[in-house]
Amino acid sequence: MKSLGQNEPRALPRAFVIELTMRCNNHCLYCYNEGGAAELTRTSEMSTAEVTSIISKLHEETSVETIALSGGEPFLREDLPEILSFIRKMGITPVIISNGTLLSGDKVAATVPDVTYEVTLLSYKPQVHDHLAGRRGAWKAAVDGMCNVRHAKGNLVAVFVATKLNCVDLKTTAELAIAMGAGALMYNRMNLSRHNIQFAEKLLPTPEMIRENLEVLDALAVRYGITVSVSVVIEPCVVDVRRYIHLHFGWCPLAGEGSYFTIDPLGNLRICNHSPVLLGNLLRESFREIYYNHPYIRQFRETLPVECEPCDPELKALCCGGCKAAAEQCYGTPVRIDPFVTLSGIGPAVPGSR
Amino acid sequence: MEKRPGTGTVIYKEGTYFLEAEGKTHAIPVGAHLKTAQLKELVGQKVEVVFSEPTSFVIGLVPVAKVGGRIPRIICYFPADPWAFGVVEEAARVGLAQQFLNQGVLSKENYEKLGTE
Repeated sequence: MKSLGQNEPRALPRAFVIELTMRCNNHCLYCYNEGGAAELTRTSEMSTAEVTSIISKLHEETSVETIALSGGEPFLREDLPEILSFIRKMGITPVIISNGTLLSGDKVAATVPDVTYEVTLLSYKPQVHDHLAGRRGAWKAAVDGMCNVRHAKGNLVAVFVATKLNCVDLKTTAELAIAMGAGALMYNRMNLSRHNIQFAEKLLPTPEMIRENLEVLDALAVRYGITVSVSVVIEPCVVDVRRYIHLHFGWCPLAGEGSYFTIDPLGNLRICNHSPVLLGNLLRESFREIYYNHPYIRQFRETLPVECEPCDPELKALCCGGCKAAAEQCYGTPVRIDPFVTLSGIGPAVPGSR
Repeated sequence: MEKRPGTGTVIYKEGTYFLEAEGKTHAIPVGAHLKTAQLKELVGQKVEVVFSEPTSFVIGLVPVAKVGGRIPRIICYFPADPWAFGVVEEAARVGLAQQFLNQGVLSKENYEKLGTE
């Protein structure tokens, strides 16, 4: 372990994710969701009042500017419009992370305006999208939904989850998203978890596939002037991302100001939506108390995977050890390197190990 | 920069690059997303200001003159909100929608929902 030299006290986060439900009408092969495998019932979710009490708490205790409502599929909650209204009333910007299949004209009308819809589009080919989403008809419903967002003049971000099966479809899929009014694209390479690692050989894109995809996205950003965010960390030891100057790359915010702490359907707090570690419960506890004092947050911030120690200092400063939440998911500790790196054939790079 | 100027000029002064627009200068931060070499080529040239707000702005990285007056769509964000939306030209979007309609990817009903502005 090596200290990254973080300074205290830390500024408070400005973005949060609230997972309103673990119920989902898709069964995505690549889903990393911690609750995705569990059969949770309606009674396993916070009530509307409990959700709004947590939003109030975040408003009082933090510098929250954005709240993303996620799941599961958040449109399965009937009270979604009510929760959105409350968020707006607090002066917070809402985002909905959705598979898009329930975005009927009525549901869009009940949630627009001033909300950003992040909708997953896995391919321009229905059969590819449906295969990855685990449900026939998912593509058609998502495309209908995205068109409904455009029709209602809503803000649309198209999310492409890159796997071995759909990498080749990226360019046309991105262009379809642009045609449907997407103002931004998000590219996420499949992120590994204990739930989806069984499909890694079949689904995890190779470094070469990702490199080709980034070139395509860089060109699309130039050609169409569209914002492209690469959100799930692509460790620069796997692909040197510095050459793609028109793309915005996401790095682990190390549970600091730029982080997006995540609240699950029961009010439990996690460092991010990929982390499996429960830090406390916001229905009963203070966010600030957890944020400043929880020992796991300190460990998470200060840990650099041992495999990263010999890495180039410039890359290390950029990447900060990659997705430690994925390592926590797959190995039960953030001290190990993101399994994406290992499975890409890069690691382990521990001195003396090879 | 409360109101978005159409263009600005990149200038270099005492080791720092600035955008000069509407009589004001704004330092352009150089970093991972924007290299000194890119800015060096733009010094003295007019660039498009894609958008601006009180604390951040976005400029095109191709001189306006170089593309014959057509607004360049190569942009760089700093330190603008990464969720900021792009500026896809409506004609380009409509052209793509038409193409997907012709290929049968988009239904007529959805194509009509997308509309034109």
